[in-house]
Amino acid sequence: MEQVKVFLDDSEIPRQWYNIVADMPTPMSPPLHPGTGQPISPEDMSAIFPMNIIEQEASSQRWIDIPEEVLQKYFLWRPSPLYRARNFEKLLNCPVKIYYKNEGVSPAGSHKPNAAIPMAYYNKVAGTKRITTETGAGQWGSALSMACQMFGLSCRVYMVKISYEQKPYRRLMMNTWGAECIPSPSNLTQAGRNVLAEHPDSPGSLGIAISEAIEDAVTTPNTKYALGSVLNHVLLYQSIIGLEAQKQLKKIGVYPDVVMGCCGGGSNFAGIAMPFVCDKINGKKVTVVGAEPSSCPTMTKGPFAYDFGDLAKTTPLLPMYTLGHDYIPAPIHAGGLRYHGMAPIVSHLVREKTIEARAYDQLKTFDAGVKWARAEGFIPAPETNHVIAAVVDEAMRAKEEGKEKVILFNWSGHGLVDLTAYDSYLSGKLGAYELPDEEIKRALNAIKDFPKP
Amino acid sequence: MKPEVIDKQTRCPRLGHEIAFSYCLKEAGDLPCPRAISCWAAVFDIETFLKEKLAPGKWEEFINQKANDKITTLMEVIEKAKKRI
Repeated sequence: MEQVKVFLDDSEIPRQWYNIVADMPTPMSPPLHPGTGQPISPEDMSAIFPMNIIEQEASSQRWIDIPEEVLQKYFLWRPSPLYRARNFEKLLNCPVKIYYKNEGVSPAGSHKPNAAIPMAYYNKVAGTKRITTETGAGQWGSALSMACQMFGLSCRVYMVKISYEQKPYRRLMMNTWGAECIPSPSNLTQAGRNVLAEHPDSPGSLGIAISEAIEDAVTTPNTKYALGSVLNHVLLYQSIIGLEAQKQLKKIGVYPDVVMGCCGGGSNFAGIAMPFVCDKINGKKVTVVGAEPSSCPTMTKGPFAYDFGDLAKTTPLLPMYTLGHDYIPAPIHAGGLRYHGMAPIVSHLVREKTIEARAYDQLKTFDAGVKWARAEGFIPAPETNHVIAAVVDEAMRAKEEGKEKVILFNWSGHGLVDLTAYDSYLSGKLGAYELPDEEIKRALNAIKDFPKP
Repeated sequence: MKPEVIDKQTRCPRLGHEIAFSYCLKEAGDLPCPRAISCWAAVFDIETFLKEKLAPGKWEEFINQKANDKITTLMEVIEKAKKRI
């Protein structure tokens, strides 16, 4: 009999989160306030975050205790199982052993509750009564809705209107967990009203939804805001994934040659990777890889630099990987097209060459995801498909090199609420094509009110 | 043109689902999404398309717009929200 799953007993769950900031090979540059040039202070953030979370955001303490109340909620699905993907291994026919943490077993179906639950808990402790946030497709919004319900907090999620209309199932998940889900732009905030006054049919954007969620938090008593990616405390909470994986692999006497995760804002990648990055910093031989979409290569192409948020220098300076000139089509040489969405911790480690990044286009990722589903059964979230494409790539490298490798990756969520994405892929709607005249006309109609030469 | 061709989409890495090109053109209000070129360049010559269709001023505004990181965005939005109180 071939073993497929490795479990930890509830009593074996890690009792502390791991903070990579304590072990950075070189210190991280702090985000600077553009007005003063000084590091952003806790007071700057206190309008939207409670002080206990701000302290963790700024902490360089290596281990931080997980409160019992948080562990008790984690136990609903944690410790998550470690799987060996034996069927996928056979399909690839490469000299690799593939292990993955199944984060799709959480109630919300992804890794997001790992951070949402402590955020709700710490807000509760700090006296917060209500939390706001923004969401696109709804993975974060639904996780936070569930977490707020667990700790008796009200939750309002501003969901980008086009997502609200196209992704009803996570909106319904939010409602089921007792949260308000508001299509953004809305009439509930001045930010929303301003947009609607100018563009009554606005489909919304993440920028507008963030503005609404923060305005709501800043202007409503006992209300704070929560962000599900990028920030240090989010990465801290997600470290539970990698810490559990270390214990599970130790049980079966295995240590990975390669650790992989998909990178959007960096939270699920950091979750599986950072405990192994700690090992690497301390001399262990392990390769750590983040997989990201080739349509927005934040780590693979961008130079690392301080950058002003805008030309008027009214926003903080933050050292991040940016989408550089070498990526942008040759005639365009403007900083405005750069993207700054990656977690500063991840950006820093890429610059230090402690971890590496690889980019995969959407067709390759869906191809890998469909192969996975047909071999292993579980249908991955489209984001998870990026790391599966990276696993396939790594397996092929092993074959070419004639080396045996153990690969560990984070299966960050299931795709059962994202089947329309699979429909788009399977029916050929994604991918390169000649833009038809009708679509060009439709696009022109979208900008018909723009000033003309 | 067949409807299935007209409905070609790309996956938006920010929203986490599929969107049509028309959304990308107005994602930033009266400007296209800062990532429109990088997301669609493999599909068609979007750069020439936008140069031709946007007024010179708007084109310059588009290529110079900043896609801020999250913390920068948060700080900026906090300040704006405080001013509205």
